[in-house]
Amino acid sequence: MNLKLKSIILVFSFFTFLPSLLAQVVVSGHVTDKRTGEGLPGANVYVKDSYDGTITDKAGLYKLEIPDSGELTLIFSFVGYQSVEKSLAGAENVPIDVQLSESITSLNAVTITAGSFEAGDKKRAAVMDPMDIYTTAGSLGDIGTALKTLPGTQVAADDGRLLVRGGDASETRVLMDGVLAAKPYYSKVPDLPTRGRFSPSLFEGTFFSTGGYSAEFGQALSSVLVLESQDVAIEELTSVSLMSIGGELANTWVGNNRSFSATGGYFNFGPYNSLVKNHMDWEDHVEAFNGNVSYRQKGEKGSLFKFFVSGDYGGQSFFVPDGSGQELMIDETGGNVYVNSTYHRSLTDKTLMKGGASYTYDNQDFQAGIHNQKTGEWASEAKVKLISQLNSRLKLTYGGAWQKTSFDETYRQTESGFSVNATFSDDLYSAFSEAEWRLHPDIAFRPGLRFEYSTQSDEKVFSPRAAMAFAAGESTTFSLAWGHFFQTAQSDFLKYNRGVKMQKAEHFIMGLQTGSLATRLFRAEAYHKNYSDLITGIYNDFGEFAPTGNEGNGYAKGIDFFYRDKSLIDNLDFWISYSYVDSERKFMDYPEKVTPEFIAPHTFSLVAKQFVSPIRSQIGLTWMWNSGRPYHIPGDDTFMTHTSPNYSDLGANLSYLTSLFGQFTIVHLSVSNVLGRENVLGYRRVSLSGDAENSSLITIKPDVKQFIFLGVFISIN
Amino acid sequence: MKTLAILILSFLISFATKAADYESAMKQTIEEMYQSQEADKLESIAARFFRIGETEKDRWLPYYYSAYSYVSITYHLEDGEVIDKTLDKAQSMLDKAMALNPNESENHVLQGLIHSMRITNPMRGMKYSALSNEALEKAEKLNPENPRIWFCKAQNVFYTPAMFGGGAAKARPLYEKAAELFDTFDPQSEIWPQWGRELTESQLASIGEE
Repeated sequence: MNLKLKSIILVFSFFTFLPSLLAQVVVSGHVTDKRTGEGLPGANVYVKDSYDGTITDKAGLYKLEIPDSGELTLIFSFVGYQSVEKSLAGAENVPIDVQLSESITSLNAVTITAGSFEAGDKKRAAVMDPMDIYTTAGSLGDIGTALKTLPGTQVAADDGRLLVRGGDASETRVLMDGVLAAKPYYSKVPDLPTRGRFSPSLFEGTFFSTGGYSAEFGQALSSVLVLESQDVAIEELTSVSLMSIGGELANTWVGNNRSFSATGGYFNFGPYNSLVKNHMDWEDHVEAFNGNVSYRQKGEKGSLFKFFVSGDYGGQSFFVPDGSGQELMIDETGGNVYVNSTYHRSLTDKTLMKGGASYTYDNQDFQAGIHNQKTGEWASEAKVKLISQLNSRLKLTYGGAWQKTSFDETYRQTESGFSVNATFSDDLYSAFSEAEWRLHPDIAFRPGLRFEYSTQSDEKVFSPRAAMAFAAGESTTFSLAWGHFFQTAQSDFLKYNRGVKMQKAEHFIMGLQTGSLATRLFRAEAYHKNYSDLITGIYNDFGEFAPTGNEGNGYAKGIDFFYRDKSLIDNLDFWISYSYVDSERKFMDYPEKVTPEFIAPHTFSLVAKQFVSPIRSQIGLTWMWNSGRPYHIPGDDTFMTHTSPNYSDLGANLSYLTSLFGQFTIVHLSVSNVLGRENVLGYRRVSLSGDAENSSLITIKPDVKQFIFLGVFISIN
Repeated sequence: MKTLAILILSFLISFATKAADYESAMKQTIEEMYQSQEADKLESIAARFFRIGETEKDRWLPYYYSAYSYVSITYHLEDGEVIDKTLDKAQSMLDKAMALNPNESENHVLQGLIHSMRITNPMRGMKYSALSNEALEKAEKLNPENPRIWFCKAQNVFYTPAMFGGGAAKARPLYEKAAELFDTFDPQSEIWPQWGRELTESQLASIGEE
């Protein structure tokens, strides 16, 4: 080998070994979560534009050896967090500690939880899964009944609607995909609970607010319930439901980015009522037909079009005591049509538009003894909402809506032929604007303002709202909410006096939520609510309420607790709710300010569900208890001084997963009031001739002492 | 002229070296991934794939393998919540791969696999098996010859209780189809996904014994 070749080899080998001859730099440090200060295990630490790197250990510590090639940049990254870059000048063996903050867009950013309960798959504020509505014992697949196991609500087994934090049933507004669902319940007859019109299978998420809600929502003094309907279906499916009270058939067709589904059902309580003992004296049992169709289509730029129409027709008749020892026949038939259509699309990169419209027509024919009442109600709403994400910290939501309600009622006395008609309509215009400002990943602030104008009462009102949340630790949030809320008088009242104005409530809420739905979650909230301009009046000769003014006022204050645990015992999921409410109001025909008839100060509920794998069944128990409600005995010197007995109901259910004819089947058995307790829900005053001194008292009991529901649900695909 | 030639040559060489670096780094990491049986090890491999992806920017395979490594971790986990969190990471990696190559059958197969791994309790069965099958249908439209589609379909059927239309007997023809396609499948490169073959064969062997 000659010298030249040797030197070439030497030169080459020098270059080959060059990197290893250079000094190694050891970089080490600690990667932590900026919010919690805890170490982040599994974070990526690497040299920019190279494959060199490592991940942090269980404590968030790392150690990285890199060749000292002068200046370089280290990147620290972790899924769901903002990456951080650090420049490294050279061979300085100093520890580099880095704090990573969560991406604001990630789901873990602080969420305002005050007053709101969500059921959804991926929401931080969620306290329920969509499946919970089906699997809560005693709910019988009714959304409202399942929500009554959450704190802040009244059990009110004689109502069935949502009574929230001292409010009555008319104070909750229900929306579907953000637009009005004016008649979400089947028509209510005295003393019998009603059910929600919409089956939970239509929805994939539920947002239930018990107060302090966004400026987007108005015309509700106490609460809003927003149902989010299913997206485009991805699977063709036929489902057959056979129940002890009726049956339902549904089919879904799936196309490219679109789906269509149709459902039809028939319900008849007759066979069931003849089998079990019943408190009611039925003439014709509850019978109803219903059906709905829906269409969904996805388009470009994430646009989504939804159309839904449902209709039902049904009736019932039964005898009730009229308070004077006689029986009175109540006969009720009615129908309802509901149409809801929404369209979402992004206008620009940063702005999303959500538009929607709904139409409700409700027709009731109500006969009580010699009194006949035919009522037609129309409600429609058109609404547009724009959401602008100005930057990662600031989001603006603004929009407006027009709501038109019309009412037409004819009262006729069957014997005398005397009749009177009431017709009116109201146009309600509203506009709102709200900002959601994340000052910091740990602090969110949401100020908003709402404007409403009613043509009927010729009133313009502004409702300011504000909410705030602070994160404390990884999964703890403190929230505050405040706002003014207005609601026009309900149609039943307006028909006798169109001069009454809007009623008003002011909410103050303070809350704490900690933990996560996947393991254990605790929430506590305290609130104070002031009512003013409540409607006052008298009961007229027809036994109906006729308002005379807005002279009433009141308050409600209380504490709600909620605890849910999925991790204590394998496969066991349970939640406990307790609510205390102290409320007094002067409204309706109350001579003074007292606790109203629909308020039970203490409410407690326990829901437990266990999946038992060997028998492929979920077993559930629900216990609901409330302290007695106040009532008044006509003729007493002081008003509303009596208290009804406590209410207690233990329900059980079993859902068994199996197959019938090779198709996925769920058999669902549910029993209410397992212990067979004789519950008294309350007492109702009945005025015989509009004269308070001549009225008497009726005991309200649950319509059926014990309800047994058996359903077989078959899915064919 | 000479200088220009040298410049071009050195540029080409550096380019080739860089490509060779990529290929060899991928090959080595893929090999390690297939051999790893521990969650910790797989997590650091997933992170390495991510680093390669971030450096290369326009290649989808590093993110694909990062996602697949995270999915592999879940075979060694039992806690449903930890499985979900790990699959969230897999999903965020697959989203990156999907954005770079949305019409690649392999990406949709992996999407189907991620969905079916989310079935950690029977109540989730209906939702995620529907999502998984939807992703696998998409993969099939893009390339029906991809054996991993049939392997995943077979696995989905195999682990569905017989009473809901699943079970070994119904899965068998799907495994057979997968095995057939594995024999003829032509990977586009040395670093193309290969997983599924061994398990297909062992599943067929165990079904055959019954």
